[in-house]
Amino acid sequence: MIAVVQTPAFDWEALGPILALGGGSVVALLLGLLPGPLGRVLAITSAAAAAIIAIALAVTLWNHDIQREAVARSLVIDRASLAAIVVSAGAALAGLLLAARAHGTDDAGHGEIASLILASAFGMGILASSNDLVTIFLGLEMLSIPLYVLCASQVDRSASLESGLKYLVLGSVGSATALMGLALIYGATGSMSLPEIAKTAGDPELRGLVFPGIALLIAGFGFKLSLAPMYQWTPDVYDGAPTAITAFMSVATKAAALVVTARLLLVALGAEPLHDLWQPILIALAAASIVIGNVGALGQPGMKRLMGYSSVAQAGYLVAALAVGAIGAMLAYLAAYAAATLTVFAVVAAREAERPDLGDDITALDGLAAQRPLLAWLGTLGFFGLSGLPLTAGFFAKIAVAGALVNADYAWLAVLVLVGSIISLGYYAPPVIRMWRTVGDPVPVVASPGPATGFGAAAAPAGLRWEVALVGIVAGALVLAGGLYPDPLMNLASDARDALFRLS
Amino acid sequence: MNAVLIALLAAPLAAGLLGLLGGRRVAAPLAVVGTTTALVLATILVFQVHPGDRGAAVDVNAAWIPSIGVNFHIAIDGLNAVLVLLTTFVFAIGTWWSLTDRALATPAYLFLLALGEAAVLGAFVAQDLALFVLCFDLMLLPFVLIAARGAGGDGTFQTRPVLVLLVYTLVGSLLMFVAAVAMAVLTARALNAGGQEASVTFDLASLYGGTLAPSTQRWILLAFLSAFLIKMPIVPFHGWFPGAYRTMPLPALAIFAAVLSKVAAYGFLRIALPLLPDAIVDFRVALVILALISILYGSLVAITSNEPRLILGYSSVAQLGFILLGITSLDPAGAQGAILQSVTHALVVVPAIILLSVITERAGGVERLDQLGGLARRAPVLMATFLVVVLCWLAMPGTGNFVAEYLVLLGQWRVAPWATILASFGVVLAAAYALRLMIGAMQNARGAAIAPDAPEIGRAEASLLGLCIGALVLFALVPQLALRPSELATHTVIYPPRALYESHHNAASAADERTDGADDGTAPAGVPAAAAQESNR
Repeated sequence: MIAVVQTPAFDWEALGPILALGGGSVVALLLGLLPGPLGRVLAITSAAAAAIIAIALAVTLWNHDIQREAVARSLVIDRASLAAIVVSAGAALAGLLLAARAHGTDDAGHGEIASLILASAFGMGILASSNDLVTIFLGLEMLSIPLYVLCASQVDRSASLESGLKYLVLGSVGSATALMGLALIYGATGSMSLPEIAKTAGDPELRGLVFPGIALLIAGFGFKLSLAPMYQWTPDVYDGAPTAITAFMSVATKAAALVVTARLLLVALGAEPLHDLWQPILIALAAASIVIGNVGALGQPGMKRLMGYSSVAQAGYLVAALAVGAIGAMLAYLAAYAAATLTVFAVVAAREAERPDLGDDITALDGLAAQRPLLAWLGTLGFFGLSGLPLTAGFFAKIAVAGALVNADYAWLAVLVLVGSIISLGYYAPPVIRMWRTVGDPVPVVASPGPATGFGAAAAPAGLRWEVALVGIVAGALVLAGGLYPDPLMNLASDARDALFRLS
Repeated sequence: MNAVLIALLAAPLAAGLLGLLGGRRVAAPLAVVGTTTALVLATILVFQVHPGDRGAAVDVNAAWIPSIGVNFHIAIDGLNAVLVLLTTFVFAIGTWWSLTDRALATPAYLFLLALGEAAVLGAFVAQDLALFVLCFDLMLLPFVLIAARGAGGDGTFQTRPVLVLLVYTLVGSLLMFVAAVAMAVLTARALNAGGQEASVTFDLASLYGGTLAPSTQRWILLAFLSAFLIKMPIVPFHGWFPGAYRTMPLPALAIFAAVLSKVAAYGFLRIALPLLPDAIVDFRVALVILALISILYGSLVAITSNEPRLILGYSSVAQLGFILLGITSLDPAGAQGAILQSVTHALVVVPAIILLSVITERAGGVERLDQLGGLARRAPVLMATFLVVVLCWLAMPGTGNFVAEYLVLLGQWRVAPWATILASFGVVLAAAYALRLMIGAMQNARGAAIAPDAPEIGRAEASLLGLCIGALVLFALVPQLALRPSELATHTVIYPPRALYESHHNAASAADERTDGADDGTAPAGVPAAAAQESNR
């Protein structure tokens, strides 16, 4: 006798972008098994193609303005989740291109790297579009586990292994915390589905379970967002991980975690008494992140470590917007942050390949304007974009964030955001100043006492890899375009916001 | 004419961008074309401003970012016309001068200068607060990157002065950024609370009028002041400038010293006075005191410094103190004096820096006053040129600088005679430091660093100096060129705080009967220049 299993309706069309990422992961893994250069090339190109397909499908769905609950209502595909998918897939694409010929990728295996990057992006797609508590946790783990491995993928560097282990241990704590929060909320409301939870969670009788649940959730997702005080892992992990992976996760993880946090807090737990609980918590965490991240980044000589602290501060700006419900401003800022971060990492990766003796040290950027004007312009755009200076997307995104904060009567936080930007110039500007210096030898002097001894040891600079330059140019062009004509960006962000709130 | 205004911003930028893409061979001629075009267009635009007109002569308003209420709104009116012309002139001179140094004038450098020109012009013509803030922040960045090249000074590279320049001046700019956002958001909210339908907009015209409560105005003004006072710079917010002056190559420094500080002074007139009148009246005395400190402290340091660059820098601090003094008089004469002083100071700084470069060239790059001297006999033309510049600099009667300082002091006399008395010491000290620099650099016995066969001034520098001196002579003969177009516009922008100030003042003087009745409640008295009747219509 055959039991008839009722399978949930599968909305293939709506799931297209997520499935493209997941499918691409499998295909890249298999193609990577082919021997020799063929396997390497096919693994990367197939994975890149899958990311591009995911972006294209997401854009198509965006244009149809769909709002579908798929797979037994456990996922919801709307413009908010599509926005996160586009950012995550874009970051995955950038990560793939940066990793394609980077040092260490070959040891770990091209197929494996490509597959894991896409698997993580697949998890981000699930997380950003999840509509119930189980899916949230599923997405969270799907996102994190490949990243733990990726961080440790540069097997000949102990820093990379340390980074992977650290991320694994601390990341598991974060996931467990979030899981406990999810469990408490399920226990209180008796429902897994976010729309159902929204109906009952505001009940004052449930606060004994819901309040600690919310606190644990914020702690868990604060970990993924690297908010202070859950940020300690960030500089170490960013520093140790291969540059391509750092670039990918600094952008993509934030996108997915922010959208799901917005869904959880604003849609499911947005009732009045709950809102009054989590808003001050988020404001306090945002303020702490802005201060700690910006101060911590000062004087960091390593670019990746610097970006780790800077991402703490940037998370603070993003969460400040989230706390006052300004999802449009938050998404606009996220896009600006993503483009600027990828631009910077492209420059860092390019320099790392040319000056392996210096790696990501700030001295590797000395005199870049004379040697590689393109990289110097891109780096300038990227760093200035991160600090929100004019002609970059960050400038207008910051206007949107500051405006939302002032409008919500948090003018002091708007001032703090800008004070944070001022402090951030203390570490974003020195790399730029170094790039533009012309005094002295055109070839940068090896300052650190390392294995290299003077000019002779540094091999003739390997040429600028085209795929790295491409990442930098595309991301830099987005930064500039957002700085010259940001209206489309603002409109897209507010469309995504509307979609998110339509659900409630 | 709208196309001319847009072309004014676009011409230098397009030339710089093409030069950057085209490489060294085309960059230099393109830079000449770009700056000359801007100068010609600015001249055309200035003639569109008629002294009797209220409002803008040329006005371009296009939606830019409607989602956050930002428009691309630029205009030429009486307040900015002369300053726009000045900017294009200074950038033209600075760019042409840069081209004489092949190592300096790379395509990237010329592009950065062009970007700076577009940004400064944008700040002057902006009629939208967000656009103003954008240009105000942006204009600094090219100069930071130029300073980062480390091509100036003694040739050693240090990150620190450049970093201090960037961070210190952007501290104010970014605080202004949040103040501008708060200004727009809170004004819209105040209007909505008053029953009007208003969405958030950054357009200056709709922000005028002091809708905000005085307490809100005060913190917003403090943020604006942090931007303006640092950029000018006014003592004690001047800590960034000596390092920046030392690191910047001289042609870029000439532009930087001449026009960037003027944007801050202009910001007072365009933004702070009309938008935040209550707060300006509250802070007026504090600002006057800061201006006086700048005048006296700047002059004293200029008298004692041994570095010609810093003598110029500190004298600029003193002169900007005069500009601030004129603005804070809230008097039409003072405000117009401030505008004229902005122009004449810029026209003195540029030739002074060119002369400085000529002299240090003959001293093998040494920039120490005690090692210079004795050039006057060897280079009489250089000496004569220097003398003309110095006489303008110390505001000899008969020069435009004299008219400007006179108007500033006159305006301040009407509201605070004590401040005028203190400030007039600055006039005396100016003579001391200007003459000291000239005597030290040109006269006396031959300095240790000066070669015995030091040549006469070169042809390129001589022609650039000739242009600057021509402009100085022009303003000496007809200062009305700057005064007439700006007359009505200054009245408009200083009227809100002035009206408040007078009502406070009258209330106070009615209490203790000390008024002399002449300027009691009547229209703003004492309009300078010839057009007094016109403005009273």
